[in-house]
Amino acid sequence: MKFKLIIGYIALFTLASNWVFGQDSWKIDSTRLVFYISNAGLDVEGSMTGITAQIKFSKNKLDRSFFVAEAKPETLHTGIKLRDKHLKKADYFDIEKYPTIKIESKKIIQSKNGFDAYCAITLKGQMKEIVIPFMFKQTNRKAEFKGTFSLNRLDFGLGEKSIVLSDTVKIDIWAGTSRGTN
Amino acid sequence: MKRRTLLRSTALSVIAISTTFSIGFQLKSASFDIPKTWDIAEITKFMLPPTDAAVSVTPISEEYYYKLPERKIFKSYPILLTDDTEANRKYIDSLKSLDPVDIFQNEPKTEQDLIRLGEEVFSAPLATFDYSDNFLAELKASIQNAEIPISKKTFPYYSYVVDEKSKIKVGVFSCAMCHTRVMPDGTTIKGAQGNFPLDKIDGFGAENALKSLPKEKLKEFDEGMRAGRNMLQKAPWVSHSSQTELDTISAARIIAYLKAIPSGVMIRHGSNYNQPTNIPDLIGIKDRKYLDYTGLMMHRNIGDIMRYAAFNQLLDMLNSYNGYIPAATDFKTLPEVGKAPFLGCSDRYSEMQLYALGKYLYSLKAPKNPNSFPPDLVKKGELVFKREGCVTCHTPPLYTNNKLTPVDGFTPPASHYKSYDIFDVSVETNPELALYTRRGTGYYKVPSLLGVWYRSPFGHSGNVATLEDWLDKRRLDDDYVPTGFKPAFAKTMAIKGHEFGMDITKEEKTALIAFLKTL
Repeated sequence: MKFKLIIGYIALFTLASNWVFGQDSWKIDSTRLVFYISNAGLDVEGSMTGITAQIKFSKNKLDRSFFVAEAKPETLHTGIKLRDKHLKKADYFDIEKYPTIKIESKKIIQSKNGFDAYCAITLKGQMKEIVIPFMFKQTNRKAEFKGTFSLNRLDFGLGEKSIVLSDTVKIDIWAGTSRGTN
Repeated sequence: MKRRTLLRSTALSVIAISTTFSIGFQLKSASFDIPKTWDIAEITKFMLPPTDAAVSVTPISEEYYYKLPERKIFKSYPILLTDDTEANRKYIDSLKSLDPVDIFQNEPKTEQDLIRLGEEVFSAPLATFDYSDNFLAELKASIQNAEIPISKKTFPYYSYVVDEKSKIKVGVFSCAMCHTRVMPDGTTIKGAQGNFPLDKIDGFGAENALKSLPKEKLKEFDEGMRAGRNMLQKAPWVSHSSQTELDTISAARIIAYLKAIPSGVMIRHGSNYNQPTNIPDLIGIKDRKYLDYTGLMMHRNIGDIMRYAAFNQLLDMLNSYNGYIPAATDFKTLPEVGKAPFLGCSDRYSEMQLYALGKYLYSLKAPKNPNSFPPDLVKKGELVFKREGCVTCHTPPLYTNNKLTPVDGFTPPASHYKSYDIFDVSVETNPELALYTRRGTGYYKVPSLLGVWYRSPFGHSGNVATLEDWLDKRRLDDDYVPTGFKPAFAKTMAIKGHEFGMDITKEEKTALIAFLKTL
């Protein structure tokens, strides 16, 4: 009886391990983060690289799916060197004080066209709740996550109100993953 | 005796009343509420501090300022550039027959009166010398030597003044001397980036004097030139070579530096003797938040324009910089009121004169833009302007964001972010004017692009002559030959920084420049 109990615990532990570290975990192969903001009526495009994330996702187990992703604003690139330099300073991302942007999902639900992730985003010391609609596409052991969302930059102290620069920033994020953990 | 005593006591009463009135309150004229110029509390707020926090700047006191005698401004007349000596003689004779006209003898009643009088203040000289029969011939020689741009008929930088019946004087050092631009077609634009090459003329003048000087006077001449430069440029707390060289600099070297300064820029007092400052365009000044290339003084209202004019028509030479007083004979003892041995330091403008000047400057409008480009080209240029991010700093409709950018080598103190409008990135241009001079604040202001079609040269020291050169990437190379200001003794020099709009196609550059020339 005691032996069976031990076997049972081992089996449970294995199942749990599988859940945490197993087939529903996705490790990052590559990422892309592109942001767009209207400046004097034209879209300025910028990007950040080196996104890291822990992802556990199964469309059949949404209540147990989650992700935590981090981006480094020091990697931002808009095509104009001095603009990049400025965006890293205190009046925008203030990378010395706030080197990381963090997005952590709190709840993921099915939506009409894919999924909605209810997240907490922490940017420049400000935490806000946002919803990120995303698509999930799986091919065997590979999967892609693709989401788009918008932020009001003024909510996070990114610059000040401007007559030429819009308040809203649109963000496209894409991750190519394979099964496993980082 | 009784009568003389009465007159004297009446005069003293008038002085006492007017002094009290001026010190204690803003001036209430019949029609205008005129701000008080020398209000130390306001001055403290409007001046940005030097980059070195250990240096404090103390202007003359309110009491000293208001004890200075008020300037009388007499009507001035144009200098006609004519080859017809008879016609000139007749003109001079006609001026000699005029009575002196104190332009403020009648108090202005309307805004238009003020603007008209303000224009006279703008043209009023700080100094005069007697007209002589060979004046015009000497002036024409200077025009040729120093390549002074001149209008078709007049010499708009100087004027004739009649402040005494039958005497003609030549007036110099007015606002108009530096802020009048003569265009290639001979038209003049008042208030624009001027193109009178003051330093070059000084250089030629000093060179001529040096040539004819007996040997035994050379040492004295050297010392005199050096003392002059120290008055104008010394910032004793700065250890940079541009300041330490002033301790030993020779007259010959000063002359070489002066002769290298082209039109459109000048070596300002309180600045660097070998790095001129671009002469600002005053058209549109009403909308500028900072004055001076280094943003030395804030512009919050017309009172600040009045303060700026009072300081920069040379009363800042009486400032004490940790005890160093540039216009003091021994550099440390404030001269007796009215006895300062430096131009512009022994008298002052009246409150009404400064107010009228401010109103005139506010009224300045750009002339009609003669440029005409195909609309598609301009539209394309505007798109490039937006795409390349120019709009962020040169934001329409003013084409400036009215902010200050810190220079390399300066980190704004935390308190500055609350007090000033800071665009917190250096555009990596030469920081010397902002770091190593009395006018240095650690910042350059973002200039407006309005009116670039009538301006040149470009950059805060005017190192490039055209917009094409400014957008030319070759200017970043050490073997570049500056097309604008090139320092004496330098054959080549990289013009670093502000690397915008350089990596675009030739067609885009043409379009961008066409757009800029329409502003």
